[in-house]
Amino acid sequence: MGYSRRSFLRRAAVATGVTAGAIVVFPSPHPDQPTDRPVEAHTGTLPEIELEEESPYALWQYSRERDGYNPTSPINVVFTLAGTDRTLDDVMHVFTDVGWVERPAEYVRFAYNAHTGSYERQHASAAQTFHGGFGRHHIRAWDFEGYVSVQAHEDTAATPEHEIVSYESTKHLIEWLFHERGWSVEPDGASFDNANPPDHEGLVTVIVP
Amino acid sequence: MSDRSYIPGWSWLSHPLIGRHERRSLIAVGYCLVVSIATLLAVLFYLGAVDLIPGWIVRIVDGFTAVLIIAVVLSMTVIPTIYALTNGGPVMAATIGLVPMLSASILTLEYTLTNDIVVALVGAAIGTVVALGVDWRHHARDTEAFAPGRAQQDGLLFASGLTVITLVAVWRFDREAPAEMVATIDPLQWLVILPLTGCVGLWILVVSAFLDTERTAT
Repeated sequence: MGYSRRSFLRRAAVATGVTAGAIVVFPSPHPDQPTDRPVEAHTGTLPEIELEEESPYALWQYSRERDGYNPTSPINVVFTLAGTDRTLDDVMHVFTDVGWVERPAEYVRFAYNAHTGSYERQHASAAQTFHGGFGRHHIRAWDFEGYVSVQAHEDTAATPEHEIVSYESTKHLIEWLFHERGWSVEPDGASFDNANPPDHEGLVTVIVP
Repeated sequence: MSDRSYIPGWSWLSHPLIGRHERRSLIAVGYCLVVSIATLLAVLFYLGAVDLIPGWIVRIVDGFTAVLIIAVVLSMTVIPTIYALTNGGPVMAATIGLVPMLSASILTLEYTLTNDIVVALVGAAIGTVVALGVDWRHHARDTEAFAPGRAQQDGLLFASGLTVITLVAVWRFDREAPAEMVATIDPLQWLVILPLTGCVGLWILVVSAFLDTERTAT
């Protein structure tokens, strides 16, 4: 009895040590997200983009269907990197800095590159969680010769498909992330002909390094 | 329960911490492997290691992603408990719940306490304690006594450790994570009260049974 009690106490000590170790190395959650906007939204006349074929940016992301490409969600944030020394990698680093994953489980989507006249699958992606089982912010990005188009949205829980909770909430979050890092953020700085429910009215945030 | 193993050298499949029935344990091991490999494939698809130009391949990949996400959500929530009820095995029940998160975190170097991880921990902790209860019931029936054997002691230590880790994770997530992300799972995370109650109850029973034997002995 004495022996088995000693053995139990030894195993209990190991279990306590492992548990304490796990608690110490456990990761932190994502940083807090303001829900308002960092900069007053643009007022007055906006640059308008109506035709994807004539735009340096994409207007939509598309799914690949049996009969071609089908628009699923609007581009709602764009970056102008052309003429600067920044690249798409610099944009993506801002997301990984706050704990987003760069290789999330996601569907394959395409955007139309007017520079080359072809559809291209996402060049980069990031999401708050890999699987998005219970809701996450999620972006896909395309870099067409320094003109970066981002489709940003907040997913619902997978029940079983991801639906869109909001386009606006993720757009506002992105405005904060880049504003805090000193990029020039112009909320709703352009108007695209791509309004889409539940809450995108075609107003696109423009960000410049 | 038979001591003989169907697969030579694989008797650990019927260890009480893994499960009572070797074949069911083997299915669980296979399931964990499939989920890990599927996660690896999802990462490879992203990296563009697979040519996605023809439309039919894109549709297959999208279908695969959908199935993976459904499997993962079930793994994080109900499958550990279903496994526990049918096969006992506290360690295997926890493994089923945590394997999707662990493989994704390792493959993508993800190191953040997310809503998915909190749900997976809670689901794994519930499954583990249920499995311990199932195993303990069989043990008590076989030995006609409540006193735990070595496997039940180890099971209780494992379940208690996992429950404490889960409790701390829930507490930190609730305090530190963005309110908007907490809201996506609230109040699901507080189901951690179930494994906590189970562990505390078992500890009280074990300690009082131990004190009883001490008293009878003296």
